[in-house]
Amino acid sequence: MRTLAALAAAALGSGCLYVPYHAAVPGSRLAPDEQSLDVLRGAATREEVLLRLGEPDWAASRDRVFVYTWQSEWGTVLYASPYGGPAGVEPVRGRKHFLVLEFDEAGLLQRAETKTAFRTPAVQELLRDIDAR
Amino acid sequence: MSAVTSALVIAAALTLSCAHTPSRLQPSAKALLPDEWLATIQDGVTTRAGVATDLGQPTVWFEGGRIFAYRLIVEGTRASYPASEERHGTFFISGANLLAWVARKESHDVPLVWELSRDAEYALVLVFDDAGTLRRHVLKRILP
Repeated sequence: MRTLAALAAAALGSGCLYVPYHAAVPGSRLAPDEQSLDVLRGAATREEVLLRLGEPDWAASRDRVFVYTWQSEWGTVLYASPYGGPAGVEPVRGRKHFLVLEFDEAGLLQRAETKTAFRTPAVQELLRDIDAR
Repeated sequence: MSAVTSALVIAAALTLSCAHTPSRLQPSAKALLPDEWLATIQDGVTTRAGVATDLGQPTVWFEGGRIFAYRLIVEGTRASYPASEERHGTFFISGANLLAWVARKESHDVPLVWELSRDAEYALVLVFDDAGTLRRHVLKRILP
């Protein structure tokens, strides 16, 4: 009984409730499965990559660079402060993952790199680097 | 149970709930696109023009139009929508009690489209030969 009372007090006193679930962020995609990524280990063409992974989220340098991104959502935090303080609902999101693929002029895969970043500018910078080559 | 033990139990429960590492997300086993839904698309038969008529302009295309890619957003049953049509810059496809639409860059500017609920997203990739006949295609579930 005392434990229940302590739990109730903790829940009410914190003003914060975490509702866990696991889903892809809206507008994102599921992480590519191992079978799909197998294509990256051979001499893949742009066509084979598209057939395995679908269309990229970004394409740059006249389709010489494809970028696929995915990100998970781990739950939602509902919060409220007493006495008229801030209140709201915030999704809890994991890191954003980037799979960057670079093809040569003939459409053959030259490079495949996975990056993780909280911010997109890091990848934008990478794309600028490739464009500048 | 003492107050101290209770507090420790609560702290442990909260820590564990936040520290767990869920397994990798898997595509839903629930099939949303019945086989007959894209029955008009057949390797060796369907033409590029035929695909464009059935599905509208692709989301994106590559290698001068040799490869078409459609991002199909499936909404589930929406009997109130009319037959396939171009609307608000987005191609809606209905049939078999399902509604899907083709996402395009301009779709991002249509608030209505992004407010719609979605049950699944698919990538449809079609590869044509030099004569414009479909050589290979794949329908892959992207979400969820």
